[in-house]
Amino acid sequence: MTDALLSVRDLTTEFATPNGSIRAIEDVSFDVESGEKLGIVGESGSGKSVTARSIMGLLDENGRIANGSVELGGHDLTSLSERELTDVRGTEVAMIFQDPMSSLTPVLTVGTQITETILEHRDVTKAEAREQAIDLLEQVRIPDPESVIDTYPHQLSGGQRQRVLIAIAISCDPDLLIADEPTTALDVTIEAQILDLLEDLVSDRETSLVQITHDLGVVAETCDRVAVMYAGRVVEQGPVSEVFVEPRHPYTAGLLRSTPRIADVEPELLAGNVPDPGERPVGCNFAPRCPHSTDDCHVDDPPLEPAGAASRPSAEGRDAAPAEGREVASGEGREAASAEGREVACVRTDDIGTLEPIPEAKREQTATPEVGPTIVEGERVEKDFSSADSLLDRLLPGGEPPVRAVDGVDLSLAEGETLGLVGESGSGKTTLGRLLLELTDRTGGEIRFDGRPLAEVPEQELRSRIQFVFQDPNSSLNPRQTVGKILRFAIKKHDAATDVDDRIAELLTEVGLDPETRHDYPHQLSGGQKQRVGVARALAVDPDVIVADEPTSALDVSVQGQLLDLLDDIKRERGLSMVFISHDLSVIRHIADRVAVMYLGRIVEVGDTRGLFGAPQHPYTEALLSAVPDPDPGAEVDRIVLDGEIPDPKRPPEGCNFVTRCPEAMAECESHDPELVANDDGEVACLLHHDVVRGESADGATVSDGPPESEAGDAARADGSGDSV
Amino acid sequence: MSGENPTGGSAGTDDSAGQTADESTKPESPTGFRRTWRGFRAHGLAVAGLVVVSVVTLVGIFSYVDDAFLGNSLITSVYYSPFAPEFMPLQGPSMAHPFGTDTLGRDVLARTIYGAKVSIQVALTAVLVAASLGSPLGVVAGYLGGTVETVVMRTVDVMLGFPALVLAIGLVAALGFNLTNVIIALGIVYVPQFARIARSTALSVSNEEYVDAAKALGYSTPHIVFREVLPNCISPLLVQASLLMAFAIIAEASLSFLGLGVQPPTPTWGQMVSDGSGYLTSAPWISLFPGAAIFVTVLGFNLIGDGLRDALDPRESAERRF
Ligand code: SF4
Ligand code: SF4
Repeated sequence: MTDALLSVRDLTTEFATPNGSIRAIEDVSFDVESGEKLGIVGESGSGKSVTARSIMGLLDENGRIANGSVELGGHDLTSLSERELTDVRGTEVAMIFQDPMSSLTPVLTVGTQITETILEHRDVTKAEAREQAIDLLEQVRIPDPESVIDTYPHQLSGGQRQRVLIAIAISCDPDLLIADEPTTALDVTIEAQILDLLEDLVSDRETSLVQITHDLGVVAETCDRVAVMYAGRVVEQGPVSEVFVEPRHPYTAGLLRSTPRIADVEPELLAGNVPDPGERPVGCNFAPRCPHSTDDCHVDDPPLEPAGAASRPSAEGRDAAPAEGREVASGEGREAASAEGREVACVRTDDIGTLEPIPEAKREQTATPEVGPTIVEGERVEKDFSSADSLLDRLLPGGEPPVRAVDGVDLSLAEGETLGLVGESGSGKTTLGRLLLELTDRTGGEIRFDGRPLAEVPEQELRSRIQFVFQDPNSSLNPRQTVGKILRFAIKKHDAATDVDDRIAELLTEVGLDPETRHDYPHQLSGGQKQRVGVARALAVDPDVIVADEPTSALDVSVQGQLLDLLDDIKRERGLSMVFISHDLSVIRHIADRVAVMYLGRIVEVGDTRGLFGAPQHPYTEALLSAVPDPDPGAEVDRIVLDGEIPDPKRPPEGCNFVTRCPEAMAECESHDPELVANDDGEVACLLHHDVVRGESADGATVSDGPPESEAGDAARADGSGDSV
Repeated sequence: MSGENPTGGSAGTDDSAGQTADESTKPESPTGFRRTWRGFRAHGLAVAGLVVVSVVTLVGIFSYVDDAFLGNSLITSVYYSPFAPEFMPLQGPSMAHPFGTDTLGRDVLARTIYGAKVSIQVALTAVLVAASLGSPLGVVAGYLGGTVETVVMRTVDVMLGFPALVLAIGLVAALGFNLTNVIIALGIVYVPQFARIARSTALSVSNEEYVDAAKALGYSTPHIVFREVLPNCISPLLVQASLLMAFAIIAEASLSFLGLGVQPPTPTWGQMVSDGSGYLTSAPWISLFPGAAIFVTVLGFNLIGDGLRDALDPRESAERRF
C-alpha cells in the first residue's frame, strides 16, 4: 500500500456550530493508486463532499481536520501551510466542482481563467499560455475553441461550462483529479458526454480520479474501486466489480436494491433516513435501518476491516483476480471474492455473508390498466415565452423570436392511469404540466378536462379536481406557515363544512407523517417530509388528477423510493390519474403506465412503459435509454453518446427537431417535420418509422419520395453532427 | 411602545401574528425568530446599537409621559425644568449643569432628554406610516405586474427623483409646521423606499413554488398577496425600516434646524443645534450635546439595521447544513 498516490488515514473532520462541534466524517481511510479511478458514493449527509474538501484543504471557516492524515505523493497535506497547499492544488491535485456556474468567475473570459491557472503554475509567456488554453479546450472537446476562448461563462451552456472547468483542472497536469458530482446538474445525454470525456482524459494522461457521486450507475460505469459512505464513515470498499455484485455491508446492498433501474426489477424500499451528524446513534450508524442488526451492533462503531472470504463455503476461489468477480456473479456456484482491498465495517459480516444486489421481485407485468375514459386531453397545445417584454423591444422590429417551450403537443390521460412525461431540461415538460393546470397561459391549442374545454370548466371545479405536486421541497411550502396552517387553508377552501382538525390529521397520516407534524414549520422538516406535506396539500382538495413535477429529484435514493411508493399507493387507493414529470428514466420506469418522451417542445414518442423501455422506436428515446448509467457493473455498455446539445428553442432546426443530433438522420429529415403517428407499439414522430405507416395509410403527404433507408443516413449524419454545437 | 419595538420585538410580532393565530394549540414562538435572534446576538455591534436605541427610547417615553400627563413634575422634582430659563445663560458644563445652559439659561441636559421624545416619536410613526403604505403597494405591484406595477412604480420613480428632504420641506410648508405634519410628510416621503424594496422582494417570492401551489388551489388574489407573499417579504422590509428610522431622525432634526419642524418651546435636537449654531466658538456645548445625541441614535439604528440584515440573510440557514 505504500506506493499509493493518495493515502487517507483515519481522517476526521469537525465543524463548529452554535450547538457545539459536529463530526461530519469519522475515521475515513482509503487509498488511491496511480492511474486508479475510485468512486466515493453516498447519500446526502454521508460526508462524501466533506471528505473531498478535507483532502483539498478547502473546508469552510468553521471546519477543521481533527484527526488523521492525507498523504499525497509522500507528503502530508494536512500539515502544509495555505501557501504550500496552493502550490499543490493545481499541479498535483485538482478539483472539479458540481456547479460550473458558481465555480467560474462571471466577469472574466474563459480564456483568462484558464491562462491564469497556467501562468500561476508554469513559467510561460502569455501567448504560450493562450496557445495551451486553446489546446486544452480542444482536448475537452469544445467545438471551435478559438472563438470560445474569448466568451464569458454565461454565454456557454451548462455542459460546456463543465468542460471548461475540466480544462482548468487538467491544465497543469495534476496526478489526481477529484470530481465532486461533476454531472449531477447536467442532463442525461450531456452527462454521458462528460463521463466519456473524463474517462478518456484520465486514461490518456494516466491521472488518478476520485469521483464523488450519489449515483451508483456513474460509479459502476466509470470507476475501478468504490468506497461506500454512510453517516460520515466508509462502510464498505473494494473493487466495483465485487462490491456492486456481491455487497457485504447491509447498507450497500440496501442502496443497490432501492435504486430504481431501467432493468425489469422492482426496487425495494430502504426505510428510514440518514441520521444528521450529531444525531448519529451509538454503535453502528446504520443499525436503526439495518435488517440484520442485533444487540451487538449498538455497542461500538464497527471498524473498517478486511472482509475475508472466510464465510464462503468454497475456499478455492480465494486468489481469483478481482477482474473475475463479474463472471463469478453470473455463474451458479459463486466463488468467494478475493479479499484484496475489500473492507467492510460491520460486526456481523461473517454471519451475514454476501448479499444480493438486485431485488428479487420482478416487475409485475403492468397490465395496461383498464383504460378508463379520457380525463385530460391536449390538442396542439402551444406555449411561447416572449422575451419582448419592454416597450422598446415591442417597438423595435425584428428582435428575438419567442421561445417555443411547447410546440403543438397532443396528449391524453385516461382515468386511473399514470402518464410519465420524460425529457431533458428545455424539453418543455414542466411547462406542459403547468399548462394543464392553467398555471400559465396557453398560446395556442386546446386542453379538455372531462371532455370540456378548460375555458368552460368553472375555476372552482378545476382547482378542486386537478392538483400539482412541486419539485423543490425548499420552495414548495410557505416558510412562514406551519404544516397545519398550510393544509387548513386548502381544506377550508374546498370544503368549509368538514372538521378541519380531523382532516389535517387524516391527511398527514395518509402521507405517512405523524399528525403532530402539523405544528412544525417547513424548515423543521427533512426534504422527504416536506415533499410529503406537498402531497398532502394536493390531496386536501380530493383531486381526480395529480400532476407531479419531478417530486423526487431533490431527494436521496432511499427517500426517493419511499416517496414514489407513497405516490403509487395513494394513486391506487384513491383511483387517481397522474401525470408524472421527470428527467429520470429509471424513476419513470418504476412508476408510469405509459410514457411520453419530449424533445424540444414536442412529444417524439409515446408508448406503454414496458414496450417503450424494451424496444424504443425513436432514435432519441434509444439514446436516452442507453445513456442512463446502470449500477450493474456487469451490464454490457452499449452507450449511444449523442453529439451536441439541445438546440436553442428560439431557433429550432428545420425539419425534424432532432436532426442536429440524430445518429440516424437522413437527408429528408432536414426538410420534413415528422408528425406523431400511431403504429402497433405506440406513437412515434420519426421519418424512419413513418415509412411503414405511409405504406399502409397512403398518407403520402409526409414524404414524397421513398427514402433509401440508412445508407443515405450516413451523409446526413455527418452534416448533422457538423452543425451541432 | 417598548424599547425593542423597532428591532427584534417587531420581528417577533410580525412573524407570530401571521403564524400562530390559527394554530393556537402550541403558543411557542416560531423558531425562525429565535434563530434570527441568535444570529443578531452574535453580531456584537448590533447589540450595542440595540442598547443605545433602547436607552434613547426609554428616555423618550419618560419625557413623553412626564410632559403630557405629569406637567413636567417628574423631571423638575429631581432635576431642572427643560423650559424655565431660571439660570445664567451660556454657562459651560459644570457639576450642576453637566451639559451647560443655553442662550436663555435653560439646562441643556434637561432639554436633550426632552428632545428624545420628538425624535423617537417622529422616527417611529413616520416609518410606520411609510411601511404600512409602501409595503402593500410594492407587494401588490410586484405580484400582479402589468399596468398596476407600471403605475405604482413610475409614481415611485417620480417621487424618488426629488431629494427626500426637499420633498419633506415642500410637504411641511404646504401642510403647516407642527409635529403631526412632520410625521405625515416624512411618512409620505419614505413610501417609495418601502414600495421599491417590497416590489423587488415580492417579484422573487412570486416565483416560489408555494405561490404556484396557492394558485393551483384556487386561493383569491388578496389571500395570495397578504398571506403567502407579504409575510415572506418582511425581512428586507425590517432592515429597511431600521435604516430609515435613522434617516427620519436626521430629517426631523434638519427640519427643526431650519425652523420648519416642531415649533418652540417644545425642545427638539435639531432646533437645539440650530439655537447654538451662533455660539459655536463661545458656547459649543449648546449644539454639541444634542448633536451627539442625534449622532449616537442614528448610529444605533444603523447598527441594528446591519445586524438584522446579517441575521436575516438566507445564507445563514447554511448553518443548518453544517
Ligand atoms: S453492524 Fe449491525 S447494524 Fe451495522 S450494518 Fe452490520 S449488522 Fe447492520
Ligand atoms: S426523423 Fe430523421 S432526424 Fe428525426 S429522429 Fe427520425 S431519423 Fe432522426
